[in-house]
Amino acid sequence: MEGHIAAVGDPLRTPFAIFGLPAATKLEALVRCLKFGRFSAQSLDALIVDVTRTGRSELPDDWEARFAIVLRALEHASGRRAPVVVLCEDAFALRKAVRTLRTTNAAVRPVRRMPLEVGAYLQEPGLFRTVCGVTWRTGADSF
Amino acid sequence: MSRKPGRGGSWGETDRVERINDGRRRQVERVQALLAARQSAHAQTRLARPGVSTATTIRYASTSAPADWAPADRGRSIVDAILDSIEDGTDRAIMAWPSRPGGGFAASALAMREARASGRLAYATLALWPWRSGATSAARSVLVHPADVSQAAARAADEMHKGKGWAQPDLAHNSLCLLEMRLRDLTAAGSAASNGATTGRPNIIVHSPTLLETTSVFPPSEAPRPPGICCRWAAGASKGPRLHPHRG
Repeated sequence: MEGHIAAVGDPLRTPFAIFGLPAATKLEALVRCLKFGRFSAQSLDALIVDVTRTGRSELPDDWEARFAIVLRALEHASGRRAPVVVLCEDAFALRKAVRTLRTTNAAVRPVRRMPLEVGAYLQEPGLFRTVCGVTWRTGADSF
Repeated sequence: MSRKPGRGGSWGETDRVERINDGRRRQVERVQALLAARQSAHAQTRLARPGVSTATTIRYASTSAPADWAPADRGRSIVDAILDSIEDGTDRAIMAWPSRPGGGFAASALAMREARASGRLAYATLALWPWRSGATSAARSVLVHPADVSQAAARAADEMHKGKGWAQPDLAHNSLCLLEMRLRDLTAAGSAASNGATTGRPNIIVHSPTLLETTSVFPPSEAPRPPGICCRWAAGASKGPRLHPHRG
């Protein structure tokens, strides 16, 4: 059993893994993270960006600059460029994030699609109770 | 449109019309080539990695209401957005309102749990930015039903035993299935400890793993020594995963 536990705890071998990336101010630090063997062997499937109020608690007010750095670092990872999923809870953070995504993606070749904006109606806090929900999706230019 | 020279038309006019037609033809070919290149670029970003063919519904509860087991229907749109992005490679920005969604780690862990149970993904690697010390705190208060996790693992193990090709040989699919199937022992232990009554609040909390405990998470290292983040991730293996099949 210890061998199985070690295998599931091995970042190179566990089938489902979440890797934390620091809010680094230098591109090199993040590029070094993304050179980890897991990302070259299995590729990074997605980057989840938590810019909710709690998620930004340790970031400065101009967090877009650090967000742009991690987006630039993704270009150095092997495999396909990982899609970015931004999770936010206010329109100001949403606009900042989408603007940063557009600006960074504009310099990427091949051309990437514009980010999709998705709304999720949560009547109560959290994700785990059954309620009737309303979901809609829009294009990149309207919300 | 063009007049043939034998019927009184001029050669110069014929050449001009042919040049115009050639130019339009070349323009159409260029547009078609550009569209084909763009489509191939988008097709290259698509990812199809189906896992187990029989889906299992996973129920969750919060530590404040541990007997209130329910699927993650409220967070379905966020989970679907994450999994859609993984599959089609498109960036997405999700705004959850009016209530707070509970953080990026809980959403990521929930998406991975649902992807495994539903068979949308055979394996997945996600990164969470920005990492902070309390990133996982919201996932500590979410309970995962051990029987559901065990059933999903049993189905995955059964398909691997039958030779389904979705399992990567260099990943520890067998170990993960084995550990998750052991979670069934928690329900049996809970019944035995409480003489068959498994609905008591403390009993449910003790004998149900949390979302954090059923997720393999590797925080970055603050140590500046090279190779930096890899040291902490590799060190996580020596400490074992955050999965405790014998918890309680």
